[in-house]
Amino acid sequence: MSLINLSNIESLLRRDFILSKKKYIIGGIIFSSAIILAFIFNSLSLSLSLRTEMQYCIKTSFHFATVYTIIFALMGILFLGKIINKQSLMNLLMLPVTRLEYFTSRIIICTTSFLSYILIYLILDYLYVAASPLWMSDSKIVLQNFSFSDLIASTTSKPLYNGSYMWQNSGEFWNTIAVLFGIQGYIAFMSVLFPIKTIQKILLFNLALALGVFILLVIISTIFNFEIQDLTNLFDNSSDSGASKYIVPIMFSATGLLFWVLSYYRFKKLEIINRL
Amino acid sequence: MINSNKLTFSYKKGNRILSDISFSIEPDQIYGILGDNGVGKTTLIQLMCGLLKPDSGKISYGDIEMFSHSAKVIENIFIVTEEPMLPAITLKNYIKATAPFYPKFSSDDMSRYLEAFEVSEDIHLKSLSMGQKKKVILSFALATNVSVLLMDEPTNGLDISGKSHFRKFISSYMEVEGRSVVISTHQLRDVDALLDHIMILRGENLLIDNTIELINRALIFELIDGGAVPQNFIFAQPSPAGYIVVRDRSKVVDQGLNINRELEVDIEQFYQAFKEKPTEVLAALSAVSE
Repeated sequence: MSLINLSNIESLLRRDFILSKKKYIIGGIIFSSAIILAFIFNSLSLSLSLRTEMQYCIKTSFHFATVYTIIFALMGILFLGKIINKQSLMNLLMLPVTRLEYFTSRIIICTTSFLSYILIYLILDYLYVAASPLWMSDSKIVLQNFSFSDLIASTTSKPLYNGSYMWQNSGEFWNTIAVLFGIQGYIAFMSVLFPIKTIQKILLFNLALALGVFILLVIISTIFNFEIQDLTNLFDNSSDSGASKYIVPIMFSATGLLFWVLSYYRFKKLEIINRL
Repeated sequence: MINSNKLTFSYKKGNRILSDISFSIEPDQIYGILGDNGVGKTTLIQLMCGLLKPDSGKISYGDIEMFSHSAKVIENIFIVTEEPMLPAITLKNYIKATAPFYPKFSSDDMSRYLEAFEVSEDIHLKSLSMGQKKKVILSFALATNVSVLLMDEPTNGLDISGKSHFRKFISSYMEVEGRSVVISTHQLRDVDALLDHIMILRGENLLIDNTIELINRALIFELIDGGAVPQNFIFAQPSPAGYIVVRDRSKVVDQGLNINRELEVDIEQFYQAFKEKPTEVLAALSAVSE
């Protein structure tokens, strides 16, 4: 007896597409708008007369918080599908599919959507950098600290996709896959943890987390008197960096796997409707 | 098909809803679950399809526990809830999204039911009234051709012709062997002609779990045209045509009493008789079932 019926997964994917395509389009528009706003803020803050470190903190944190919190929130509402009340959970539980089939279909949907949003980000990032000489000259320095840009080298004159470049830098590629896997697992767990009012709770939680991390970094950098940029070197996806070669992919892969397992078992607990 | 053994359930500690409930849903029967408001009818329906987990005891479809949410079991069951929640998409898209999960789903049946209910296939579910949503979900439920249909207040919101069509559709649905329908309702007049088996919940217990045929053997339902109410009745209710009286059949026969105009089993009168004199009704039923 097979664990997974592929036709059930196909039916689940079709069902999700029919029920949620408007949501995905609106999510894409919101996400793109948020990135554009982040880029505009980025440009404005560069033009202000702030200390370099402060500028960097503001730009980095805001950009990070906006882009990734939006990704988290969008993925959060995507993972379980729309469960807003007992009736919608009942509709879900009465689908004649196994738990594993449903979970698998959600992984496929979330991974496809997540990669689509990353692609939108990369395209906008590329366009932003390509147009940046119009208003600033040092945007590349700021944006290069995000590994996605570095991976596809959209911040340089290289084309958006360059197969040979990616092959040469496959170490960074697997780093990025590991990071994405870890983030996706985290988002899946968060959305199963907050099945009701998912987007609001995940947004609030991650904004609070981002703010907390930012404050912590500022405090640490002030106390220990080092540049915050030094911390990002830990995740430098250069293949010469010994730490990132093993620690980063292993750490994120293990964390992602842990979150996925926790999500699966947490999802089982959701089936107790009277606790919802 | 669905078997329950000493089922107990409570939403919160100390607030037990159902206690030691045992029953069996057999094929080729239409069951009616009756009881006062808040007694646990909807809870029992949800336990039957595995949406709730019992505190103790077991409820299963064949050998498979309902709460395991086995896909093989769930594809044989469809539940029509009291207030169905339909997504904001067109009916055609809803059918495309949901029908593939039910191997025996029939598009022709769906079209036929929708036509009888006077609901167009080219509609957007968001624009429907509650009654129209009920018609859509009932049509879909019947078109799945599953073995067990569980319905919670299915006639709520239906208009008069909708109720008439509902009764016709359930009757024709049961013409195929191996099917069961379980209806939880207060609207007895809408479904009394359909029911084969009555289950009455009271307190935390299932106090009545009998076929209409057995009830008919145990009790007499009579219409008395004016005049004095006869002796030894369990329940009597005035009606425009006289009194409707419920009596213990064995006592009437044993004592050689006259039987007035005998009626078919009147479920509403039976329920009222049980509410007023539960001990006597249970005694009459026990005597026949032994």
